[in-house]
Amino acid sequence: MDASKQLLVMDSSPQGRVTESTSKIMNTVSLTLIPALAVSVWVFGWDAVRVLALTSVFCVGFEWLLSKWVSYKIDYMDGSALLTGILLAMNLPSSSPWWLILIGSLVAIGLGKQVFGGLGQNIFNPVLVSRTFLIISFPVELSLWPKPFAYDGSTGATPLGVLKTEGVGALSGTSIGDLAMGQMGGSVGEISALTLLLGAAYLIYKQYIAWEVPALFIGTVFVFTGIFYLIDPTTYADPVFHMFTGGLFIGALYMATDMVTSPLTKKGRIVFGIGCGFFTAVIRLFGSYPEGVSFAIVLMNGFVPLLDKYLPDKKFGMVKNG
Amino acid sequence: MLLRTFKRGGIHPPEEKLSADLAIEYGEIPGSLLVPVNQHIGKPCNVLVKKGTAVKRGDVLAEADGFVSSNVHAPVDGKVQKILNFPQLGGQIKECIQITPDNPGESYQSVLEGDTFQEVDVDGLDRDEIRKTIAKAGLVGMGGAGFPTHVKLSPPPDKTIDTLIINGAECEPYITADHRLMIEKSDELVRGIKILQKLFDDVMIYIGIEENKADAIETLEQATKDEVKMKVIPLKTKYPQGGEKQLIKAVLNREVPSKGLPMDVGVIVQNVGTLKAIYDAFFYQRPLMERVVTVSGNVVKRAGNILVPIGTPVSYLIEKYEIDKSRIKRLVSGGPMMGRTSYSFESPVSKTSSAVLFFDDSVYDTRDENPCIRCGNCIAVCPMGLPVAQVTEMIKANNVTPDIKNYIMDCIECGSCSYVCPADRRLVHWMRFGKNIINREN
Repeated sequence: MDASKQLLVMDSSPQGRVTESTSKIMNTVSLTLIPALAVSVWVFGWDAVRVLALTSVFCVGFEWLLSKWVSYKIDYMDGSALLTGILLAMNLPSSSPWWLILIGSLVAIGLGKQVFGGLGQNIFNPVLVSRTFLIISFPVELSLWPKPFAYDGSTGATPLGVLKTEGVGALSGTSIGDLAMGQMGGSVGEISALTLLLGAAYLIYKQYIAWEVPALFIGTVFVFTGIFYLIDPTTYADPVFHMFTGGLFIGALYMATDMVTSPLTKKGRIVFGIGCGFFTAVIRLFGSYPEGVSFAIVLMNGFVPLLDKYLPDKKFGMVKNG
Repeated sequence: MLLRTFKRGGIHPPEEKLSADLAIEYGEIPGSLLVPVNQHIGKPCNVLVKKGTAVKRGDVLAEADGFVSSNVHAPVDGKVQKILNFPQLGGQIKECIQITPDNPGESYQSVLEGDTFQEVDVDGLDRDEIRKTIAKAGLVGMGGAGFPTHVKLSPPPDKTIDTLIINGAECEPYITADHRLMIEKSDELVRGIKILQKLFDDVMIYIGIEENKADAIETLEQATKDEVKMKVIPLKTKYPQGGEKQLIKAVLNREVPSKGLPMDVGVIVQNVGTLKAIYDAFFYQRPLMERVVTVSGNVVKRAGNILVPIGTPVSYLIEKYEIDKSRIKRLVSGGPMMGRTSYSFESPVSKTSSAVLFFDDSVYDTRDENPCIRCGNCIAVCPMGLPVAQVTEMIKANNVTPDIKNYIMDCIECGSCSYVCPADRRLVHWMRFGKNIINREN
């Protein structure tokens, strides 16, 4: 090139940046879900794979369709739609029929995300919007939880369902170790607390998720249910049981920590985590649904703009003059 | 040992101090110099020369207009060729005095050796005299901002200054000009400090240096070991520690109030380069006519620190360091975090050019902004504790409310937010844009 005609780039500082990117974050989160998904396939068989494949294809597909239609730019391959699909699969029973998955994906991508203006604009976690929509609209399908290791389509109640309908006495045979490993009925991804913890630990190490939210979420559920267990152990289940059942781990580690729908500041995250835990415990103990994680998170998502506004970080220099 | 640092925010980009072990070398007088008329913050100065005027080294080319202004001197003997507007390092177009030197190619080292050292009785100096000498020598903050030094050293009588901080943090990647000065000119720096010490009653001096410059810490500890009122403070390496407010927080744990100045907490901060210039002004009667520039970047074959007369064009540095011009995509003056890009190889080195960096596309390439995913990293790293994500959204929406204005005016433009943003958002750029909106309103 003729050096005298060479054009230099004019740009705003800084002339450098980290190697992180939106798609790298999304894909890393997806990859850390592999251990939990592996346990699901072990417990529920190939049905889990079927649900996972369908949600992934449907979610990315719907986002691709919408990208043709809306006026703003949608990067449907940035990994966020795929992550939504994977997390949606983890929130559905492995016996879900294909049409339920189709509706769920449309609700997640359409109603949960794109109606707000796409990535980063949604107030509520798209996956949980979809899950709550399905729980309310299709209560029958969403209460048929395949039995672990049955592989024959037979279904039963989740441990929390048993607790809600038959009381604490019916739980005498369950072992906490089995629950932690994921040997219980439930949705595809919620069952194995330990593998979820493994994946999330990596994300906390990479600083992709804030540790405050899951720690306070799970901690609050533990303390709150623990208080009631101490008051009356014959009516209320023990807090360790509450910790390892239902969607608490996937909710606290992967749903409540969603960057878009959780607060921006540390103070906000602390309140958010405690709030999620509180509402989860209240719904589990006193509500008519056996499980309250998704409702609690969606409810707290609604508070996030307020938390961001009223709990900002302390500005430097807010001291008395001189 | 627990090193001091500022607590709120900050980042640690790769240090890339390629020229840290390379001694300051001397340039030659280039074939033509472009001396910018305004190299400071404040009132523009009045040009005293015109086309054809013969000037001697040290002559005043442009005179300070008022108190907050700064003289500009001829760095070489020569003739004024032209007075013209020319793009500066940093992109703005400013008035420049073009000088054709009498002795192009002469080593600048031999020029400097021609100056005679004159011992000064520091104790006998009068305070006003000190300030006057500094003002006459055209000294400005050489860390990058270019605020006239004599103004900074003249706080109003209701402010008591109890501490002077010498800024040797040099937290920007690549730059090593101050680092080399601290190693090679430590005695001169200490003598410069002693002059400033005279200006205030019972003032304590701290020299803040980041731990990645262990040799500079050691050299200055050695040079100040007999001084009761001088102390070297090693700091944890963290950007933007060289920012005044962050440095004061790190060294003294005092917080400059929002919208306030360091003197509000009894502190004045001076850059290492400025101290060396003060020494020259007193012991050699030499006004500010040259500076050490770090030449570095990812396309240079060899990096370096070079002392050149002010007005030396970048093309001289390119030639001297045998840089392949065709590979240069970005010409940055100052560090990569806060430095500005330029578009002309003929732009001159000014009083505030701490570094000239040459990059190709591999270090950084502009990309489109992606949607904010609310990760909150920009807020976590902001040393000023600003809600960057929300403020920049408001600026983009042209919705600059009084609340938002307060946040914008506290931004020190360090660029940490843009640096960590995974969505490639140009956050600090939007902050500057917001400042422009506010300035337009005023």
